Amino acid sequence: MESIIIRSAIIYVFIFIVLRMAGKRTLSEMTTFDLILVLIISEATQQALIDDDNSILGGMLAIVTLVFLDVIHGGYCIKI
Amino acid sequence: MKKDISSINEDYRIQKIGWPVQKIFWSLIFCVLIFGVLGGLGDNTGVLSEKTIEVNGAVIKYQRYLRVEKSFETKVILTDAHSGNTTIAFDAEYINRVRIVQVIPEPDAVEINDNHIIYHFNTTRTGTITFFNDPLKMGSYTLELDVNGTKTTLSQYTYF
Repeated sequence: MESIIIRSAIIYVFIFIVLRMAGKRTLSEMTTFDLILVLIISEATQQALIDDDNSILGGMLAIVTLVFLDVIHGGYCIKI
Repeated sequence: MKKDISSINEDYRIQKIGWPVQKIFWSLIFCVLIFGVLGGLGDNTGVLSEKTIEVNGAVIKYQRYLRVEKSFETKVILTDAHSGNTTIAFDAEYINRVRIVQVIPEPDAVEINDNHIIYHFNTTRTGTITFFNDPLKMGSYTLELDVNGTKTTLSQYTYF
């Protein structure tokens, strides 16, 4: 799939589901292993999002898509 | 849990201006994302980007919108059986803007003639010739492409 916007949306939904299934936790409950896991996840996500796209616009589109989905999700959570 | 809204009271006037600005901003971003999904921002996919033109027994499929250093393909699909030799020529200026990384199948010969780079292919039936390219410079460019002696122009725009 070529579109960086669609890839970002898929990654956002996937990470949201995985982290929700892992249970709600606060930052203070984080173990050292959890921190390492976050770093590994970010590395794997970066590969899936950007792939071989080195353009500035590609990075900007990935960022904007993720934040846009988070804004929509945040607004939806406040309403319910 | 009650939300902490003390910051709103601190500077209510600025907050009041900020909320509609945020709404307008995210509405614009939504439009930009839709434009991107349709292919207008160089994702090598989508109805706005994928273009097809027919020229002298061949169909050329190319991308209208590109991004710097993001690979793209230009396909020349031979629809008429050209016995013997098929030639595809690019204007030499195009090489300053786009790096042709690979050509499949490999051409029989490549020559430079009259400021054009000419690829010769040995063809007996129909088939597809694919050019794998990397854009090097941003901006718009009109490519002069010559297929078996018939010239055509392709317009491309490369984002930063």
